[in-house]
Amino acid sequence: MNGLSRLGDARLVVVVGPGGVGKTTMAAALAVHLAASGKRTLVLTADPARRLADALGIEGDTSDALEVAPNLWASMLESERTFAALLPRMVPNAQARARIEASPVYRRFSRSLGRSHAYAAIERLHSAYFGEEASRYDVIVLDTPPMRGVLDLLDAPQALGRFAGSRAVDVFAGDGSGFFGWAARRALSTLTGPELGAGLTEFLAAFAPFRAGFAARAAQVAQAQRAPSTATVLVTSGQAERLADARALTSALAAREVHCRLVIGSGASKRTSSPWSLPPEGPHRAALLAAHTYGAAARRHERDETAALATLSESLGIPLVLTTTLADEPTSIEALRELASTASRR
Amino acid sequence: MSARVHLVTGKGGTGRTTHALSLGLAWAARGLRTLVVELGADGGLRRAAGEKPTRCELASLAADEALHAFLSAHLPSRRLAKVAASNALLASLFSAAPGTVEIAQLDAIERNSREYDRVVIDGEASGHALLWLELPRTFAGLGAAGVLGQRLARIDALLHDPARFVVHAAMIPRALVERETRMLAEGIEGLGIARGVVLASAEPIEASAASLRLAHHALVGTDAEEDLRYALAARVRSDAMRDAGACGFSRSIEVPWLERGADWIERLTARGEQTARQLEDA
Repeated sequence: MNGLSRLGDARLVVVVGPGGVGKTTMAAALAVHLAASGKRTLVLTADPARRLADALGIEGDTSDALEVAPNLWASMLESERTFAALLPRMVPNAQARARIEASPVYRRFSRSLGRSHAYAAIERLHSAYFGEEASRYDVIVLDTPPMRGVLDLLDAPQALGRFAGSRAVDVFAGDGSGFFGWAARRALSTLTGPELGAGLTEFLAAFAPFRAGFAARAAQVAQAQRAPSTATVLVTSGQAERLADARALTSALAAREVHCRLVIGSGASKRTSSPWSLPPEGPHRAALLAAHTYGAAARRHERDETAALATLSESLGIPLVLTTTLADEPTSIEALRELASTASRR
Repeated sequence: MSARVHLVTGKGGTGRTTHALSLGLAWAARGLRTLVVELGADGGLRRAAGEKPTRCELASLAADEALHAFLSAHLPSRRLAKVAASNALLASLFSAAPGTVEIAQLDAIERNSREYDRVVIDGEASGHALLWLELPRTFAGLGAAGVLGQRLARIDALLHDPARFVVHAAMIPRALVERETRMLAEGIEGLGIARGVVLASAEPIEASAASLRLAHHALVGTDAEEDLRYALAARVRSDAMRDAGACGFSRSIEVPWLERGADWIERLTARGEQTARQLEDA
């Protein structure tokens, strides 16, 4: 039985893990697997490096869901397009929307850094999970940026809530008074200069009436991540650095009441043949020696890494599934299906 | 090339943190005052160093620390700084507005570049690193003035001075990595920032692709077949990486494959010294 049956009837699969362990590829493989089992599946990647596009063979920029195989839709979480597509939903009032779209601060930052990716991911996931799209999918697979990317998603309600709940906007827009309001305005203007300060204030004022909705949706998304119908999947390789990262991530998630349902160990079990002894002489001597040395080292690593992954799984109390590294990187749906089919339960 | 600030970026899983740490250790071992910084609160850098004290200083520029440092370093009066730093309104504005943390990080790096002989940055992956490097101009384009305007001008001057700031790309032999490395080189060039070297690591396989291919054909069906196939695939990939060369950077440096284990820090320092020497000749 395939080890991925642990995903059960999850409505949301959140794929987390350290960088460089094949997390994005694994998210795509999980989605291909779920779609093949008859579930209408949407896969969302928050990774601006576009790896999923390579693996799934999606071309071009889109935040709309593209049907890339039967039962399988894929969508890129690209901040600028996501905000452009979702702004009417976030800000229903057309006049207010025009003000926001005209704001240079919005124009620059909708494609910018860091947490704007997290905000875009929240709005996109909310639309797919709670919005009118929700009835189209049985399960959503969310790929997250390495390490703290998923923590940004979980922390967004606090960051936004703190902002939405405070009088910040009124104060910066000049409506608030008192010493603290004055100090805040004065500090902002000193720091940023009047033009940027005014731009920020104007942008915030335009967004003000909608910030509560924004924070509420972020809270709903964070709650969905903690729901019993959500499976958080930790993908890691068995290398020491990655395992240490994986442990740190698991405890950061646990502190936010998110518990992983499954550990997927990537690339831990490549070899299927048994060890062989090097013939003392004969043709192809150099090649055989190199392959033997390479194979022996690889077997040793596999053994060590598999043992380390088993230790991780035991100490965390989370079941482990191992997948096989294919000789070539998967760059097609077929290859992704093959990767998912190697998942075996330990 | 002995720029003061060295940013190591590249695709995820290409060994950025290990490269940054190993260069930092090597420069510190030469007696240079060296700081290695990671840009998040993940602690991956400290874990790579085995949680032990090192000769180079390690620092994490996480969100809150970076913002707090920015405010207290730059507000003109101590009273205003104190009020602003503890002002919940301002704090909520900064923690919700995208880009502010990143500017505060760049600012801390600019200030550190004047205190240290070498600063090595364990950067984010390529795409994020490019957005990060572009941010000062994004802010400037919004008409930033005041303290921020002055700081942006200094950051901009640092980033665009090839004698003081250079970007390196970590690379491993995987098909998708080469493409990303080329895109990174174009992006950095487009920003007018100095392109350093490619730090390329591959597993050592002591036989040519041709001889492995011949052996594989001859030995189909034997126990050796699978290992020959994997060794051939790995060898072909590392040859392709070698052929790809600098991918738009100034040159490619082969960095020996290193296994964790006994004397990790010592071996990492020795490897860093080899890399640093080649990098300074480039």
